[in-house]
Amino acid sequence: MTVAATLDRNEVKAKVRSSRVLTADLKRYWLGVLPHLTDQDCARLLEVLDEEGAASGLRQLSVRLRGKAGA
Amino acid sequence: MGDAARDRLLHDLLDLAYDVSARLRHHRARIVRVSAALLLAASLAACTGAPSASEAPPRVSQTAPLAREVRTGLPSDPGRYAMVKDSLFRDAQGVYQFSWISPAGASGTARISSLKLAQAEPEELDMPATGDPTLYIAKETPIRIIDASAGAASATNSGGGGGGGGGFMFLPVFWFPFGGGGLLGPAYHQPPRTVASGSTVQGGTQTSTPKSLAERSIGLDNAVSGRAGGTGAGVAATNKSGATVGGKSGVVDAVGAAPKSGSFSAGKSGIGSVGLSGG
Repeated sequence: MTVAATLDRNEVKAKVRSSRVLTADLKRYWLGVLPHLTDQDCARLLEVLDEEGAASGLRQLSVRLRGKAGA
Repeated sequence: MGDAARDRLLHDLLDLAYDVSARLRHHRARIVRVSAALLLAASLAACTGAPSASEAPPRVSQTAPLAREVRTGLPSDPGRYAMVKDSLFRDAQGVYQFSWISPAGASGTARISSLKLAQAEPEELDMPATGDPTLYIAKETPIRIIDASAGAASATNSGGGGGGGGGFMFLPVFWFPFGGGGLLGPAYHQPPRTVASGSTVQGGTQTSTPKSLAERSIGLDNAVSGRAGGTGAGVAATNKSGATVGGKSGVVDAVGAAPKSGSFSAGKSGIGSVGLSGG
């Protein structure tokens, strides 16, 4: 496993743990299979979790903008 | 995050879970194979969503018994036939399903309701000239109990038991018929009368003659709890990285004594966590 792949998996672990969409069970199962994922699967998982972060970030930005508009 | 974005995310994860499960289902370590199946089942459950409170299914779904014995797909000639690994299921009505291969290379998938079990290796079907066949399986081989309405095909594809008549996702139960001791020779084995979704169950009852069709039907408890009568407790295991899969940490022998208390927790989707036996 390359160093880059290792770093991706640590980032994936952190994002799985902090995900608000994944249930506790799904977090456990993803973390359980994570060491056995191919680099490609790992990258896909990271991409999906990044989408969650981006969507959450956009929502938070939208909420803040609405708050400012109302002030 | 909006509902639409959340649903899309869960479906993307489900697609990935299908691919991951397809790759890991042949992993040499059984715990990895089980983890992949559970991941897929939980992902599928998360995508189907939980029923509303007013439509909440009953906790225990009692399956209607068979009207008659089932016996299809068996080899036509007496003899010994290798059982395909990980192909063995039993549904709530008492029908076993498994795939077999003959020495000559012929294969088939059997569905049979009156089947004797015995502990031995290699794992194979002993087809007699008359009477019920005997399936020899290893002590650590689980029989996956699934919802009869979904069938084994659904469980194979999704890793889960499919949706039950009550509208809930019943996760396969891992039943180790020889785990509780008792007869190891050919006998008719029966799991406990009620099993909890996603649990691990040791033993049951053994008889020298088959039980009635009504007695073979078991209840499926969709609420994962150590309080469900007759169910085994979930056992957690850790994989190589140390990440906990299931409840408690620590590797436990699949055929060792099951702990009395489980460590089940209900996820947001309503699907309980699943205890695993180490492998």
